[in-house]
Amino acid sequence: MKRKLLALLLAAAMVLSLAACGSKEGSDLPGITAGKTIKIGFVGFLSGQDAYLGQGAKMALEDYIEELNAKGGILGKKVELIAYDIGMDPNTETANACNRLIQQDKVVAIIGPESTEQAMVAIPIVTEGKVPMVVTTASNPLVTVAEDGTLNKYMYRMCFTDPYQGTALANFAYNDLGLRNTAFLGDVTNIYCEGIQNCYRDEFTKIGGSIATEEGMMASDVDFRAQLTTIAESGADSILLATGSYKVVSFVAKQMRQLGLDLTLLGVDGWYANELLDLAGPELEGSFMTNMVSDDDPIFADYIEKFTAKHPGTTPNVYAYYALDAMMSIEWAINQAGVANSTEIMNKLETMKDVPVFTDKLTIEPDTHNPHNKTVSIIQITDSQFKTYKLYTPEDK
Amino acid sequence: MACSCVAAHLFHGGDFGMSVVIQQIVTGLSIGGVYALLAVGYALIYSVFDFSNFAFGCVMMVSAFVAYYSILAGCSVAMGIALAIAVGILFSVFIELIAYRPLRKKNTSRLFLMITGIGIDMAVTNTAVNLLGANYRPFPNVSVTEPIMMGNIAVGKIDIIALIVSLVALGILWVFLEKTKPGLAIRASAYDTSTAGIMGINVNQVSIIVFVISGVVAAIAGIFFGMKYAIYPSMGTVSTKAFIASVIGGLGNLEGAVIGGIILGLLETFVSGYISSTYRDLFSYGLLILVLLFMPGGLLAKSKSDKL
Repeated sequence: MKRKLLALLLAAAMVLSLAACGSKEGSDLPGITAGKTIKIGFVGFLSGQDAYLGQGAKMALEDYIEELNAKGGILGKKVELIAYDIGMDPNTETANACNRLIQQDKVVAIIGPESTEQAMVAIPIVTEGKVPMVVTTASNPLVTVAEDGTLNKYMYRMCFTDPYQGTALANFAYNDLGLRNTAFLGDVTNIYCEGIQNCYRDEFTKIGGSIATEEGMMASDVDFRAQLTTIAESGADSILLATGSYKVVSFVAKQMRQLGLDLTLLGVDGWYANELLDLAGPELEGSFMTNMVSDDDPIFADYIEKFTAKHPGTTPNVYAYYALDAMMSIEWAINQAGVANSTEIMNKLETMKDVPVFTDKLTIEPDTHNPHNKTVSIIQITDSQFKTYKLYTPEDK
Repeated sequence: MACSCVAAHLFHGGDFGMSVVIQQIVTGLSIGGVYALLAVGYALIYSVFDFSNFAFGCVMMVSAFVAYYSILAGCSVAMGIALAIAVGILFSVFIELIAYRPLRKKNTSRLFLMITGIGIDMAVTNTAVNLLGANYRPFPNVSVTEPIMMGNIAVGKIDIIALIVSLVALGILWVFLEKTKPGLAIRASAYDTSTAGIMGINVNQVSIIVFVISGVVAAIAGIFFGMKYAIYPSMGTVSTKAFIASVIGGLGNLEGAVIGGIILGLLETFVSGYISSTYRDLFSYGLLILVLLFMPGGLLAKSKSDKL
């Protein structure tokens, strides 16, 4: 009797699963094909000290999808955003979120995460699940191209890479600021920092500059006066502070002032947080940094106004802009493919050429899955504000 | 900016070797000062109750936030500091009354008291993260970044203030312990808590006084830490270093705690400045292990009778 019941149940399960397959269009395609709604995943920092990374992005995506659905969605299907927070334990939660998005929620594409470390965690999961991941601001080259040179097919990136900004910053420091001797203060256990330092060193020494000293630190540190004293002794004229932690930047700037050090402080996109200016605006006066966008660019003015009106007390940031770029790229790819299937989206994304997205016209390099010739904004901190100093666009090689 | 240019000039001209060493010593003393203050808080409670109050870091954090919000709400800086110390005292005594005392009454092992302390610390810190957000906040209305130059050596104003206040606080504490009746009661309890109780000393009252002092110390440390760096929910983690300092100096020994704090501050600065900050904690914990191996009682190990 028990056996018969089991057989019956099994048969029922098979019929049901067949029916489930039959109800979907494009079920012969590998990967995930959307059902009635097109589900898109978002993985990012929505809580904790780094919540500024993901909260604005999630709001911007929700607003955009709301408008999109009001206009009829994509291919006549409604779009749904499924967002997971990775704020408390980023690496583990990224793995959990990606697994859940693919296996349970059946998303056709994932937007985020914001940082390289978590993007690296996601690579094997999205590759196995055959779902493309479009990272917003994770800038290490290894996110899209593995160490042995093979392309991570399912990974795409919206921002420029670390070598790109390290090289741009080295050129700017040497040619525009006339700096010749840079000291490094960086977290050498962080691949983001290491990537930028390596590229800065290569470019800066190639064009004639030198590296005075390389001092280490840890992101959890609060006091950097010991290293700064050593840097002062080294005769450096500038300090490259490649960190993604605005806390570190503010402490270093204050302690430089305390030690009476007047060296040019050079920074990177990881500095970009309004909280930094509250903590150490005056101390950072005159510092330079590279960034992915310039918020004071007039092209964002209307959007910022609209966003702030809808979400009082919050302003959109670069992470929101790049999340919108990712969303628009995915939308474009689905329209091109004519079907909301994850592998089709993956295939179409690499054919993007001068496609208008939120921040710019986007061309994806098929061999690296990076955007082609992204403009680097050089920002100077003046009057406790981030102000665009110069735009730097590399020429075609 | 004028003075910083001069300083940069001085750094680049002239004989650095010696002045760099002195600059590193000044920095080390300033870092060690915070450790020393917190280490005293650990030592005091250990001396009386034979356990380490691991909820110390969260008292420090809560006090700093009280100063932050009260100054933002319009209080003067002095008023904000006074409120912070008051809340530090209340919170410290509150922890003693709701967590430690009931456990001591049940004669639980000291180990459980320490685990309770860690639990309280985690709970309070995570509540603060959820309620207030984990952002870093500058100490309001206090600008401390301009240095005072002594020849080539830059000394932070806040470091000088912190040093003076810490020394005064430790001085008052010493006078209190050595010259007053409640101080005598604390010393008697440190010698032997049960005997002191039998001899008519109200040990519960002693515990309140000890936790009041611990609250004051935590609040002062929190305020200076906030002024020097920033105020944020996880700022209490610095007390781990202070604990190491108090073990190096000799658990339960006040002078030992001060010396341990300063040694640790100097060691960390010199390792960061001359070797690499990547190895800094390796040296700190390494020193701890060496001290425990060869001088298990700490550098200033004393017989039980002169613990304080």
